[in-house]
Amino acid sequence: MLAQNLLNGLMAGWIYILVALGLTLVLSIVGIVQLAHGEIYMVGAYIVYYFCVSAGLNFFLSLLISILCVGFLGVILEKFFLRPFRDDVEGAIISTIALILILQTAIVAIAGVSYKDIPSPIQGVVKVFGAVLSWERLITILVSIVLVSALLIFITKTKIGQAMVAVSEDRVAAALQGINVNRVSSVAMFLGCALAAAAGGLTGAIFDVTPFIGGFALMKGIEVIILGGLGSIPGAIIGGLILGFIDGLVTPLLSVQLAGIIGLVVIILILLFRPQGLLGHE
Amino acid sequence: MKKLSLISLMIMLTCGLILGAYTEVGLAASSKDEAKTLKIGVMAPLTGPSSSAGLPHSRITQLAAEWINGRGGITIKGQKYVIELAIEDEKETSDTAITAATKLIELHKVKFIVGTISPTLAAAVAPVTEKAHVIRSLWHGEGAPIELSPNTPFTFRVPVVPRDFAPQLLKYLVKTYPNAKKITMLYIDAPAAPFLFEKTKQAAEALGLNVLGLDLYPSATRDFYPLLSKVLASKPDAIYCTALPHLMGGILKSARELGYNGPIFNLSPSSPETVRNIAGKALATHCIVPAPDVNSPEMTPMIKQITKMVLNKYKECNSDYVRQWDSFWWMVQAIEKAQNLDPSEVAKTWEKMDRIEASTGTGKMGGRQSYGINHIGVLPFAVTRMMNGELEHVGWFTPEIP
Repeated sequence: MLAQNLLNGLMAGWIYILVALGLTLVLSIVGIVQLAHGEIYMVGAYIVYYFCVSAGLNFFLSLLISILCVGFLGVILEKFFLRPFRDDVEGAIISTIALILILQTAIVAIAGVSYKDIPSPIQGVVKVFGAVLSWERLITILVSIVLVSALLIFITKTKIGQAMVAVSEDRVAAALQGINVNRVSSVAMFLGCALAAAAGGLTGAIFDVTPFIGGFALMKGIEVIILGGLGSIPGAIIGGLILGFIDGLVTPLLSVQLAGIIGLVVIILILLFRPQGLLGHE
Repeated sequence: MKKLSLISLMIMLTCGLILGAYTEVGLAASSKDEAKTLKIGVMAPLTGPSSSAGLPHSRITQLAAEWINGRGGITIKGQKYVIELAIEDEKETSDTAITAATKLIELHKVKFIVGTISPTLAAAVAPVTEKAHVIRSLWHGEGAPIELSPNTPFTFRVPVVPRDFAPQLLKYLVKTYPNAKKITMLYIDAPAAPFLFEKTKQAAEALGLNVLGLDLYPSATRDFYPLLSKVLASKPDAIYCTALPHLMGGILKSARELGYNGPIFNLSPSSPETVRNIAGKALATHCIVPAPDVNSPEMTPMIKQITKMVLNKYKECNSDYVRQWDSFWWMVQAIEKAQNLDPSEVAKTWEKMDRIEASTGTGKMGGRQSYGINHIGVLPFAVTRMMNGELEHVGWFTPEIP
């Protein structure tokens, strides 16, 4: 039972991490809380669905196409919806709320409101230490680990990654050093949206897909980055795993509702002692 | 000249006769067919997460209205009426539902409303519609007093709900799975859930079944692994759920992946096609839902006709569409039977109707003993079982609602 609960928590945690990483990247580099991040996640799931079901492509190829398409969509959105409001908090809020409505309505108009299901890439289950996990869930955990590792390598080992770090620390100073802040913002938005699309596509194969799945993803993403520290990538990873394990361990012992409450209580307690979050900066 | 005048006179006379005849026919036709309009309100969630249920409700009502109008509308004391719908988005919350009801009553001046999607919204809207003496035919419910009681004399409910499905589905368990002795419940966390649990528990214990307990989950739940890990630890022989179609699909899929092979029942009438699609054919087995497989040859001629109409217009059809036909149709039948547009008169007539045509067969009104008011539709419902990914029509059942 414990192994099963830990595995359940691990799977939930990695999904939270994928969603939260995109959100924290955009927040730290573009400087805007991207409230439509959940809708980006939803669009990613729909693109996988259409390539998988309508075009009959392989799941992994569909996932790759979705990651790229949504990444480029992010670049366009950053230019027209976020960049003009970089130093305008109210404008950014209105703009991203508008984006929620635009993306949600567009999907409703194109795909309708009925539930969609993405076929499983591999059917069946795997047994690990007496616990059971479907192949889809195992694939989700593995792909998430690969994507997060790739992101960390990209940020630490590439010039543009280092430029992203510089912009996140001080945008003006970075610009004075000759870093093209707009280009860095576009790259951050590409990566953030690509990660959200990956999360949407992977979870779409486990759960169902509707135009309204974005709200839950955004809520969890915000919880994770507040817990881990705004703008901190390691913080988002730790925060995601903490909330995932709370869901995985508390639900079977107590209830779904209490798992949600305990997650929020943990966030509040940590913020009382570290207002900047676990790994956030002052 | 005289000849010309005669010809002119004859032409004028002919024209006059033709015109007169035409006008007479026209006037006669006009007076015979001059139908008045009867405006009926429709409330459903047309935006937001519940719109996946609300849109089919609204669409099927529009189709039913078109179908009734196509048959000449309704006749009350010799006067023809065509039905016009006023549709309002009740969204998800009590506030928005109350606003929608108020708008229908104050602005559109309707005296009849079909709507409110959930027990919570039904309770929220009741003070508005009851005070205005507006008849309301509910889409759904759990069967709890907050939805409908002697305190809501203008509220009716036609579709069968979990409380009334439960006894039939428990009997089906005993008959089909005789080794199943321990059952557990997994319900959506809603105000009516404890009431429904008590009713289901009583019915189960009366059949000699052991009820292990009740677990509640929020309707926003996506991952059922953690919750089912807890539920399955109690080793149930059967699970009874209340779940929307996508949630039922998620429960079924997760339970099978976690190694549970026993029967899973949904007390909510979720579309079996949607449940099967989300769970995946390989895992959709021994799952029983009180909803029709609209493609089964065992469907009634009316359901076949409705399915065809829905497919023609919307290119998709499942039981979520078909189920709500009767919520509207029964109200129209009650109005016609009452031969009156006064809601008080219609209510008096409707609650006494002991034979009403339904898409699923013939029904009647019931509920005086069990609900304290004879405002509940008692009509046949289909049960479908998923077995090895295929949909089996189990049969037609009639609820016992004294």
